[in-house]
Amino acid sequence: MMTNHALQNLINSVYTNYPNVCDPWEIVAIVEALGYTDKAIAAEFGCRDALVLGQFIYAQRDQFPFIEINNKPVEKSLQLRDEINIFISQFSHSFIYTIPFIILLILNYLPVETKVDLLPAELNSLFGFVTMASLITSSGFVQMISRRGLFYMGLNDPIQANRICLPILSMGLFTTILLSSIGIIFGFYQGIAADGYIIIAGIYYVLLSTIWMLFAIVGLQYRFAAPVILIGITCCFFIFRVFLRFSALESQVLMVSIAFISLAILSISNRLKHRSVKPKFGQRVPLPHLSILVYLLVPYFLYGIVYFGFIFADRLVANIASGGHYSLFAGNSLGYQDSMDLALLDLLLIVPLVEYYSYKLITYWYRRAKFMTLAEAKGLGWSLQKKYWSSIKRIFLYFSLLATLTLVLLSLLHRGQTNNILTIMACIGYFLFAIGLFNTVILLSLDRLKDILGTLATATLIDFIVGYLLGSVFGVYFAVVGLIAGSIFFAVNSSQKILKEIDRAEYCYFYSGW
Amino acid sequence: MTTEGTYPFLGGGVSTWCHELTQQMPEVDFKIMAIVANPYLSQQYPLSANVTQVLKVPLWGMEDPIEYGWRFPFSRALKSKIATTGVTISERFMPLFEVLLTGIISPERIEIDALGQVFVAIHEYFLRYDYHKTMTSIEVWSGFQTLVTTAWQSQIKPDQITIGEITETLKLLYRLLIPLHVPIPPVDLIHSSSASYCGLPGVIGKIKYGTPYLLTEHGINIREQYLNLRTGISSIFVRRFLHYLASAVVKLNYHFADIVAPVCNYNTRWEGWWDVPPDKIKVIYNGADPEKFKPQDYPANDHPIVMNMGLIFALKGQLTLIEAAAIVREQFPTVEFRLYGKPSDLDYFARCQAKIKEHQLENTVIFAGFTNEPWRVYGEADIVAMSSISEGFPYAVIEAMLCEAAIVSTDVGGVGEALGDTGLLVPASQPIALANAIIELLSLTREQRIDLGKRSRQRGLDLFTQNKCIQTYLDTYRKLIRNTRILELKNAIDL
Repeated sequence: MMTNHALQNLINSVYTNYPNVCDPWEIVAIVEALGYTDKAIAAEFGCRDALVLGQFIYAQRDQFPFIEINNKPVEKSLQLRDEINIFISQFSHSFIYTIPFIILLILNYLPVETKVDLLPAELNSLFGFVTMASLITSSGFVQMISRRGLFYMGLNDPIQANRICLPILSMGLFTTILLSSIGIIFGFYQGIAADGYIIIAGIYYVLLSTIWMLFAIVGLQYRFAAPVILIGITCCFFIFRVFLRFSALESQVLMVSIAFISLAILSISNRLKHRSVKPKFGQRVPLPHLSILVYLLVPYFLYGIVYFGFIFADRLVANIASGGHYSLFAGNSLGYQDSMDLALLDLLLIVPLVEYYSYKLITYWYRRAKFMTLAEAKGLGWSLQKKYWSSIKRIFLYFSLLATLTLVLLSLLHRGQTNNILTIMACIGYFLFAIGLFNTVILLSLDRLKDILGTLATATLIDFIVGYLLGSVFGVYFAVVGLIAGSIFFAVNSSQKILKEIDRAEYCYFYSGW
Repeated sequence: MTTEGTYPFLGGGVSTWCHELTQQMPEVDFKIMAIVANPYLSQQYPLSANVTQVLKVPLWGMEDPIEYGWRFPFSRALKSKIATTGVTISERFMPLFEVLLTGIISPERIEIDALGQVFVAIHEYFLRYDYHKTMTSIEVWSGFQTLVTTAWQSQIKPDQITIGEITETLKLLYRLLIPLHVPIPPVDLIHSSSASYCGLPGVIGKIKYGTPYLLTEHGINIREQYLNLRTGISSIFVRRFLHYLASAVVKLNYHFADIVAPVCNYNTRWEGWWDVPPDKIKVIYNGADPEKFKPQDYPANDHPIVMNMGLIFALKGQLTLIEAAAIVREQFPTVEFRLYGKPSDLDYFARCQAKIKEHQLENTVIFAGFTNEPWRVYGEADIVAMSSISEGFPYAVIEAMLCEAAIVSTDVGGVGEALGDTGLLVPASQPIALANAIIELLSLTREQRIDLGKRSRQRGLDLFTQNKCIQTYLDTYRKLIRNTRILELKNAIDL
């Protein structure tokens, strides 16, 4: 039956224009979509209907081998230029946030004469404490905003991204105001500072916390807003401090105020631009249940809090331990602070590199996993391990180089009350923390953040407890041992977790990216 | 009533049908379970008072289905998360999941009744345990990759399936099975608007509660799945798995439905091929309101106008119409093609625009957007041209008929049944044939076209009115519910 020329043309047309058909029903559907009705099929090919014709065409399948779809990436696809682009993109993304700190630190070391000095020095230590507290308490909300906001931006839905930020910001503001009030009452009760200064510090705490959260919201919609504002306010600080000769504290207050005003303007314009319109029928599209949203974002909230909690834990306990009284909360141990700042600078400078290496590892992981068969997956684990340890070695190398350079460079300047051994110890602690951070960023990309939270929380507790005990018994400088102990725990445990994930690399690939 | 990608969140023929059914049957209370792509779609239709509940079931656009889930207050969601452990998944879910996958991949090994029971058992599992935690567990991943890489397809070499393909397949399965975790509200009858995933509540309701299940088929879902999957998925492995999954779902729908009600005789061919017994099939034609869709008394146009109505995406075949427009313009240089409808596939829309540019048809083909006054548009046009490559029983055609339009259409689905001899039919995807038919109608005098239109309207009034359609559905509902009650009473007496 069915051997005429028109039929052969149809067969050729189906297999040529619709390559890799793999089911007789698929061919029946295609034949009908090509415009053949049963009547036309009977007249032209002499068979009953589209089903019989489709089955006949499918029976010729063997004559038309499947066409390989080559999705595999070219191994040497990443050119040096691409590498540099990725590096610059990843590096600048994080590095931009360290600029204000670097400028503040440098200006701290430069002998700039102060002409205008309206604010009392007592506020300086209070503001230092408040800055740390605001970073610790607000960064949980910052993480929640970023995580969920980016999810909606990924879906190309800026209105939903905007809407979801509001309840999180409200929760953040409520918490901030509550904590500020508690802090003020506690401050009055313990007599930490003059009543008026405590209130100013409370307001400053709310202002700073709001700024961090607004940065996250504005950053979702305007990619370059955060870097521009940060660079802008850093320039302002420089002008206030160097040209107008304001004190560091006054320059800082002005800088924060400018940031707040800029962010507030951007936030309002953003809300107006992406406001949701009530639909013609029915109700506005609901947001996810808030309780469930909070539940899903809790790991990110805790991560944000514990991250900064860890970084500042030793400073807080050092100050408490040094005085044994809450009035010394706010950074009386300036020698400790200065020495730690140098090491913290190295950490801040290495973080962009850590992010770059984790990005590279994850990209490599995904690219390899996507195109390899299950049989090849065992080899993936081995190559990932090699890549992982190679990244750790590089981070170590760069951190050592950076630490040495910083020490040498700053030794040429006025060193104030810094202590070399303390700085080196702190560098060791922060290097280990950077390793833990490298692991955390990888786990974050794999959607396995929950796995690391316990480790980070325990490390922070070790940091607090060991730092406080040693600082109280042997002196304030021993608080750094808490940082090192906590960092060792964090680095070792998180590395174990990464190696465990590498063992089931293909499952991690499946699990991530929901 | 269950819907998929349509009412009340998106427009189109199926949504029009759902809307008319709910609006015109005040004696029936409706609960609508709408499966949608994402939770952010807003309602497109005003709901009548007899729609007592709309349950939106999004498949994408969330990290975890509990975000918009039925487990509320939060404590219920948390309890189900806590209860879902590795042991639970291994012992309670995996045995079911393995049978489910076997039933999908090797349909000859599992009876359709048994497969239906597995769907019910999985549904019951998800009423108690968490969907996301289960479906993303390592147990499910391991079980899935083991089963799908066994040699079940002669076309595919199992050792060449990549992790990326397995991942994509399991992620799609995760999304497509989301309707299984939603509880089915207590109702007297379940009416599905498609033999697809939105029919699964009907299947489960039938098996678990004995609820009568009426299945309406507008297009042939499985046929459209075969066509759609080709365009979206390049991997043969993934596509093949989805073919199997879609086949299993369609077979379940056909098997457990009390009545399969296609909207035209044409659809019964496919249903017959898929082993639906003829006595289970009952054709119920769609109908439009002849008071709303009636001839408009417009003056003659100063240039010929050809209009097309429908969402802009591949199945509506606007690309063919654009190619036809280029041919028609050679004979009628002032001809204007007006394409009404929202672009629902932006890539396809872009291809249409590129095609217009390629043929320099910028002044000939116009995308006129959505209109909520289609009767006016039908009245203004000299010719209504439909170019679909797949259809059920399109409202656009019967509405145009009632408006006394001169119609040319591709001969797909039930279009031929609708038009009879009152319009021209051409094969799908053949621009030359379509262009020739349009030219033939444009070459008629206005009076001749009006005469053709009058015959169209008379045919519409005889066969395809809204009242006729609604009354048939109402009678079917009553019959199915009555039969079920009688059966329940008989069973009770026997006991």
